[in-house]
Amino acid sequence: MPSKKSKKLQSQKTRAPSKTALSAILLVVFCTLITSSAQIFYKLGSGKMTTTAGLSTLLKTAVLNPNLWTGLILYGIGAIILIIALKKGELSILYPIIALSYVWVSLLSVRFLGEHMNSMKWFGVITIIVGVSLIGIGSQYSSSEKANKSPSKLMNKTKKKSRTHRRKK
Amino acid sequence: MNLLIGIGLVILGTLIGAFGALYLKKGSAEFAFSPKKLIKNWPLLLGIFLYLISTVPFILGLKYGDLSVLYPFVATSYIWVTILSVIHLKEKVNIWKILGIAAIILGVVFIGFGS
Repeated sequence: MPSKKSKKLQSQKTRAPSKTALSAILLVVFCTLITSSAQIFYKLGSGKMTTTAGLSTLLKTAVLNPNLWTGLILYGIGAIILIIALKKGELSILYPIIALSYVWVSLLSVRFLGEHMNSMKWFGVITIIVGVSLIGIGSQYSSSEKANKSPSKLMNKTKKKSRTHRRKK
Repeated sequence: MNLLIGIGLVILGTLIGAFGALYLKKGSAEFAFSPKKLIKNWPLLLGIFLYLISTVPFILGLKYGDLSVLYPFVATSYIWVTILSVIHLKEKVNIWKILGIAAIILGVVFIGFGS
């Protein structure tokens, strides 16, 4: 049940560290999308590197390689997103979600690298999605038990004050 | 024999990566966009370091065997991280997590076969 607030990634302070915020799960999903794009850029970049003409040529084709740099920067952004997400959730929930990158890489490779899917890969992709969904369900299940203990915390934060004190002339 | 070396290297990579994930999690609590804090945050730095070097045994290992054979061992990382989360972070395992991880490992195995 994503509230508008959790989408904006606010109000983490009210959450106990043992729970996994939905925003953390969504952040990891976003992170896998970023790092998977990074891998596509790596692959595109590695194709333009010359490995057979000595080290200096290899370095030159690597340094002057916009795809490689894009991949590297995306990887860095992905790492920061992952660290921020880990702050707000259990490792045993968030880490397995990284497996979604297999899904993205498979699909992006078809679109951008001209690779082909086969039934084995499709089965793998679907099974991973099922697995990640199960873990997602499990996280909401375990956190809802604990959330019941202190639902008032979030309720207190509603802003009734502003309306009543407004007409102070 | 070569295949055993490959499997050994891949499992070594997953173990290093799992400890990397553990320390990333430990360090994430103190994470902030300030160089001062980042330098003091040794669990985070250790996590990043372990995560980066975990790729070395992977790349070496993949030379010794086919992707389809080695991918199942790559997927063991989910088992290690779960064990480490329980031991070091006192997280709880429930049936959803176990089923989810089993499905993910199966999925990775199939993608490996398909590649």
